[in-house]
Amino acid sequence: MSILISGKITAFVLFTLIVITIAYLSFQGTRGRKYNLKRKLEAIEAIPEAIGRAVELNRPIHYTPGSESTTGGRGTQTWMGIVIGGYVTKICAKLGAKITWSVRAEHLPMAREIYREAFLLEGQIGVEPDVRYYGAFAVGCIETMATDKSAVNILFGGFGSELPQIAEAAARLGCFQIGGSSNPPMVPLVVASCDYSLIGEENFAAGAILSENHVQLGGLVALDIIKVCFTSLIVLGSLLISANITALIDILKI
Amino acid sequence: MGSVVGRRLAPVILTAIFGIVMILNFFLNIPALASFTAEAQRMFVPIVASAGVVGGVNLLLYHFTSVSRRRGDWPLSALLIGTFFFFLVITITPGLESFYALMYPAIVGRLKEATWALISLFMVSMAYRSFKIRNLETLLFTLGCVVILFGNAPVGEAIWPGAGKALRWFMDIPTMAGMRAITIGVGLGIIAYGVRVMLGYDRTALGEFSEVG
Repeated sequence: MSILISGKITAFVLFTLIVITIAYLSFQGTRGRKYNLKRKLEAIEAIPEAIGRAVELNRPIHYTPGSESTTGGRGTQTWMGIVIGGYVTKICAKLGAKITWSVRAEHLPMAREIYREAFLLEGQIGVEPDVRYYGAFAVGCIETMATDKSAVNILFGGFGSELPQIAEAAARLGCFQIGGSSNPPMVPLVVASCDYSLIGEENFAAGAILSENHVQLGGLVALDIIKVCFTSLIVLGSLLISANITALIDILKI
Repeated sequence: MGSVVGRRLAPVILTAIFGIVMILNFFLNIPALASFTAEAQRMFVPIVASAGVVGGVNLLLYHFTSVSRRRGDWPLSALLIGTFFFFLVITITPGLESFYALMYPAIVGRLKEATWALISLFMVSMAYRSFKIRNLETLLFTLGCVVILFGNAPVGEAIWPGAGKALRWFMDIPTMAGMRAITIGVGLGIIAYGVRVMLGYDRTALGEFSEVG
């Protein structure tokens, strides 16, 4: 009996290579290697500008990492939403802006800690986190934005069908919006409703770019290298299959 | 020292062990890994249930404090505490099943459905704004929507018999390519995040997000 499960051997090898690449380049970051990322994400660059505008208007920012569970299929997106929220809060603390988070109940302790730590990193001790949780999530977010007269609505994370409700209501309230989703059905809704948007894996890159942390940027560089390799593999596969050569497919099926 | 190990190192090590075992179980045919994974997944249920209890206690403590200190929204906190105990009692008391069925699914459930129904209005409003052509991206977006609309609606086939075929091509080739690109990217992003968590470079789950490394 083979230890390796038939049909998953190539996947295992590829997965191992991916993990090694990410781990190695991240580790290099801990050793002081500096990564100069060429890639720019407009949505990320727009965040400080949007927060600055909210400060000028003397109105708060509304942030939500979505209502998806952290343990479900879209859990990682929610985690990323919370990470990005931390950096957004840090920028708010730096620029003197007021920010309110709307979260699901299970995210409350983490969100409060991250909120508090973001202000702490900017030297503001003892800030009471303005983190609110809602069962009726979309309605709660809309109510918060309406009563607080939020100038900016930022939404990154795990979203389901509540996204159009929140984003459209924010647009009607006149909020400047920056959002992102990796959930394929939600991607067009984010693009349609937000002034700046992130799609797909850009959401995972956003946290690293905002952190300016070379450990995280190392992982991002690794992802870019892997994507180039995968794209090359796809192009090669397309050419080979067009020439009726199934060798690559056969290898991938091992 | 003890607190550093307990608060930082132990969760990272546990996450790494469980994560690595579960990943290996997906690829490898080792009975010990399979039984460990099954056991870990069974452990997940009581852990989540315990977290629920902690959450409930945390919630009550927060709102009791709000009421006792008369914070700005303390009446809402009082309402929440009352509702909490009301639903707790009617849920666990034998013989109150029909009353629970009246209170929760029939009232709260219907209110939720009414809220979800609003999505259609928001979608129409969003679509209207999205169809305004402002730049190249919105032009492509609108063209895509027009193809989908005409391909799906019977009037599309009536105007142009090739509408259905055009829609299928549109869905099977460019849309599928785009969706796969997004899916592959998201998959890689998830792997990268998982690696960072297992190596302890990302400790958001522990309520930390400051610079590591």
